[in-house]
Amino acid sequence: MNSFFKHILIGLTTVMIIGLCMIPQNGYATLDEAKRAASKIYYQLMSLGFNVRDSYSTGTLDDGESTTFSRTFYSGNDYAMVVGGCSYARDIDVYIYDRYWNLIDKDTDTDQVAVATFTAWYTGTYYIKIRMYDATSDGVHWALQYAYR
Amino acid sequence: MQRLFLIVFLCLLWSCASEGQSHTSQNQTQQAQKENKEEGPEKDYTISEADKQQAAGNYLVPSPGEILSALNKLDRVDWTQLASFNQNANYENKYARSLNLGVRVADAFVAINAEDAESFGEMSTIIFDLGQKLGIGRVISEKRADLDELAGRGAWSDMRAELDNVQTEIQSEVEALGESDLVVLASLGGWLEGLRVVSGHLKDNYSEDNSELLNQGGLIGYYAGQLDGLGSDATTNRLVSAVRDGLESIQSALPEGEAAKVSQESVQEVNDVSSALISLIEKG
Repeated sequence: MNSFFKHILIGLTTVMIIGLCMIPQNGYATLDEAKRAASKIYYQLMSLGFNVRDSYSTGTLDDGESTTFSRTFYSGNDYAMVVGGCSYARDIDVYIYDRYWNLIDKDTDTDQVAVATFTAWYTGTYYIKIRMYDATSDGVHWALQYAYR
Repeated sequence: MQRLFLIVFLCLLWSCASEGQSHTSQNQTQQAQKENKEEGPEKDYTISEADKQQAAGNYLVPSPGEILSALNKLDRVDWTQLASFNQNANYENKYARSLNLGVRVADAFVAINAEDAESFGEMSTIIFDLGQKLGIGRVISEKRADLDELAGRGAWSDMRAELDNVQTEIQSEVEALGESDLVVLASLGGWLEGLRVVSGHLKDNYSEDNSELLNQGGLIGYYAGQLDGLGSDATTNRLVSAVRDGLESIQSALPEGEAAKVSQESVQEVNDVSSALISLIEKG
């Protein structure tokens, strides 16, 4: 092959490889990462007498986006809601609201895991809001785990 | 020719350098935004109408262990008198098996609260049998061994947590079989038995404060919606249809609005309806 075209081919291949490396690869930031982040405090909650559920509610959120759930909690029980984000999550928060949408607990630390704990003082509907306050990408995985005692 | 190649290569290098600079600048902007977020005013916790609408459609279901745990804190409870610990595992269809699986899991929670190893062992056997008939015997078998080991040591608190996880495992395995309708029914069976047990205690030990535990209008609405969304085979099933009607009766027995007080008459009515439904489910 003509040496000119050979050099062009090598140059273009190199640039393409560099370019591919610079594209954000969301496939590497996984749901398992989010679950691992949430389960980081599993043993701490267990040692405090909480029954930690092995199940997770999961989803993805874009940077700045949030999602909100309803849930029945039972009066007298202590609850811990733990949310973990994948490695693209820089700051994930969780807020708990009562039936009148008054804020009753929140975790606003700047990290990949958020925990809100509270004692249910009535039986009925409460609301849980998860917010991807800051992320390096969109479509960031989150996993919500809960514990009660 | 080589000069031409040099020019093309330099252009490519310049292009890469610009891209890199643009990324650095973007990173700096992101960093600045981050700092603003960290150092700025307190985060915004306000709720929008869109949040409220979203919450209405996103319901998270509690474990049957939770309501029993709450009752245990509020009152002295004679757990041994509250569950039937029915040992029937022979049901003609998967809908009856799923509802009964949920009921037996709730009864296993009652046995744990009663620290009754014998009843727990019986429920564990029935859960295993029903799980096998639903095609998830292998998974339950592994968990059962863990539970039996904990029961042998009398580690009741650990058993509660483990049973919660068994319930979760059952749901995800049934879901994996493509039977999401059965997940709803197993969950509903467990919730109904929890409601029957709690209302059974409250009707004989009425207290206005404790009866608040029955105020679960949101959850009843959720289950009613889930039943309405089941496949036609399930919705036309006699037992499923009876449970759907029973939910209406429970809802109308409770006062309107979750904040309202639950009267002694309401407690009695909820117990009557839930007992009749559990009896129907256990018969198959």
